[in-house]
Amino acid sequence: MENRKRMTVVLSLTLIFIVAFTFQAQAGQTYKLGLSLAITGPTSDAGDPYSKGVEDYFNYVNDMKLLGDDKIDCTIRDDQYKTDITKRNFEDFLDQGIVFYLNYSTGSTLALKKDFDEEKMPTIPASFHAGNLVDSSYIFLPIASYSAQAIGLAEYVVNNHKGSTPKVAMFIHPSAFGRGPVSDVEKAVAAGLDMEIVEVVEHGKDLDNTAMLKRLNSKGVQYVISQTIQSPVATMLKDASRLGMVAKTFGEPPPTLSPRSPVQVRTPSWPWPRSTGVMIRLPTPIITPMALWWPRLLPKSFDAPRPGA
Amino acid sequence: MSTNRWLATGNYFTSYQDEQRLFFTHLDRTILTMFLLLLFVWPLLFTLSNKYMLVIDNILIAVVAIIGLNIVTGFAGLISIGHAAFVGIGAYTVASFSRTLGDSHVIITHAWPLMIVLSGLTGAVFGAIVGLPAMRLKHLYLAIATLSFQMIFTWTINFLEFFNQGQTISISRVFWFTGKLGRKDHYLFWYYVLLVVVVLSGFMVRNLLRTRYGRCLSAVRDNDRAADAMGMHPGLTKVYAFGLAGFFAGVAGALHAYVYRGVGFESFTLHHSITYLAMAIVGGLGTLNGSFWGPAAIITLELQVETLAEHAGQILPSTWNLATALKPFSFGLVIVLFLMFEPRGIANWWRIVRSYTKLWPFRY
Repeated sequence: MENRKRMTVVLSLTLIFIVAFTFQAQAGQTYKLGLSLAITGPTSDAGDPYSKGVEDYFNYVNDMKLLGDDKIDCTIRDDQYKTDITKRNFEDFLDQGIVFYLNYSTGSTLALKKDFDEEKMPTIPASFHAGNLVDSSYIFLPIASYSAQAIGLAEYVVNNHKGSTPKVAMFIHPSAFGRGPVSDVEKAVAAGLDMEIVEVVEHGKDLDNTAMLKRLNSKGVQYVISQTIQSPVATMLKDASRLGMVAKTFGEPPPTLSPRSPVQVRTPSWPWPRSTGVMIRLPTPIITPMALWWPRLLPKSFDAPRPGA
Repeated sequence: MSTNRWLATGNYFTSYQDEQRLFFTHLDRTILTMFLLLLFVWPLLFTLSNKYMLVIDNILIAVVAIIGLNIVTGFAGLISIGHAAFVGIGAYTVASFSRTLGDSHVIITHAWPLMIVLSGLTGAVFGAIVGLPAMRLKHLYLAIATLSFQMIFTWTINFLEFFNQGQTISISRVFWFTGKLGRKDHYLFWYYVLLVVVVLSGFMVRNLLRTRYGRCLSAVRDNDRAADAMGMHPGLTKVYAFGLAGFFAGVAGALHAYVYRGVGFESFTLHHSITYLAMAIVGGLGTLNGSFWGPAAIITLELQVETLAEHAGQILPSTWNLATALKPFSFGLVIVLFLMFEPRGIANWWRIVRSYTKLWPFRY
């Protein structure tokens, strides 16, 4: 009698465990992700809509059951474009047990690079600074780096320019994000790209670029390649328009993969917040926004299993 | 001297030495000892997440920096708007070694106490150099001189390739007797290091104020001509104050570099200098305990406003960018309110509480 009771209890408990685990398996897994970005502060004009885009995208993934029964739980935190706060957010995310991390600024991506490697945390930053990939195995750029985009624009200028060597100015954000591609474009020029970089302008918070545009014009600059966020470019375009350098824009078709790339990179409907390469032609009035989509080869370590994951 | 050394309810000083004592009663000493013991023991009893350990470490780093700022602005009465640059000097001292020798060099990972002291000394040298105009300048003119140092610092770091143009220069994890520190122990380890530094700094400044050099600072602040007439050298005293402030700032900078495992210019901007000044004002200028209250209050406020701004950023239209303004607005408001209603800072509240308990149970 005693044995039968004990057996009944053991079987009941076993059944409860099996049922519990079965339901858990059927319910699918929830993958925790973290995103730290500038919802407020510098570059928040790009960061805020970016955050809303990410939120909507993961809601879409979950609602449409794109991962079957699995779900994505992405926590979004504001870092005000400050590395210290990004570091704090990242630590918080690690404590929460994230399996994938989305970062934003170039500065914080470079600063936390070692942490990503130490924690073996796959990371996609919103910054496509080529330096992110140096000595790093866990940072992935889903599209071309800023440098590749800027060099692409420079090549475009050279290929389409009629006459002598084109004179170009670079209009950049005063940060690692802005400065990143400059040296690479300079290297391309040194390597034989027939273009002259007349001036590199680090913009401030100017509300008027008349003086700068006139200066560039007086130096014979014919094109401006821009590497910054929307508002300074908008200010420059407004002034270029007012000065009679009326702009005509045209875009490139959406993502195309290089035939040389052996890896197919999926480019989801992602809210890319910053475009490299508004190109403005002086004094002949043409402005060309253009995005080049070159894939980066995914490193092997992407597929390496994470300990404890 | 009171016969009851535990609860002295009056002033029993019969000599200057009596008045200069660190602890007036046994109760004062016991409470401080218990409090320090508590600070050392609580992490062993409670586990705090890395996020909050980082916040606490950040507060302690700011405390060290504010102790320095209080010497120059609080005790010597010299306005400094470039304190973050001095903190940056300390951080970039470590970063320079990292750039030259490699971030995992034994000097950085094993001889880190030496690096912290060296950073402090570098800060002191720069502090003394920047303090030189103080021999001639006063008030707003001196403030502008320190501001210009802040600008020169920012420009230099931002444009020199050696400093990676302001981008982060990484610093490796340090070694302790148990081996290389892991992520798990990183913030806790630095909490203890910071605590030791804060306690030592606190006692150093407390003792400094008991010496003739400390009294010189107050005398020069109150009236430098009178101090000159009394045989002090106001100019050298000011340079000395800047040097000391630079030392503490340099130490704070080195600690910042080690805690964050990297140095980037954006942690040492004019905004940070203003924040340090706000911490000193809110804590209480010219008081030692104000150096502890200020950073704790401002960083806690920052955390709260961050959360508020984050929620506001989700609700308010992004084109207005109003959420961005919340932090500077709340900051400015707090400073204005303190200047209007409590210019002596939180330290005055502490003084009121202490005087109440000191008189207890025998009140006037």
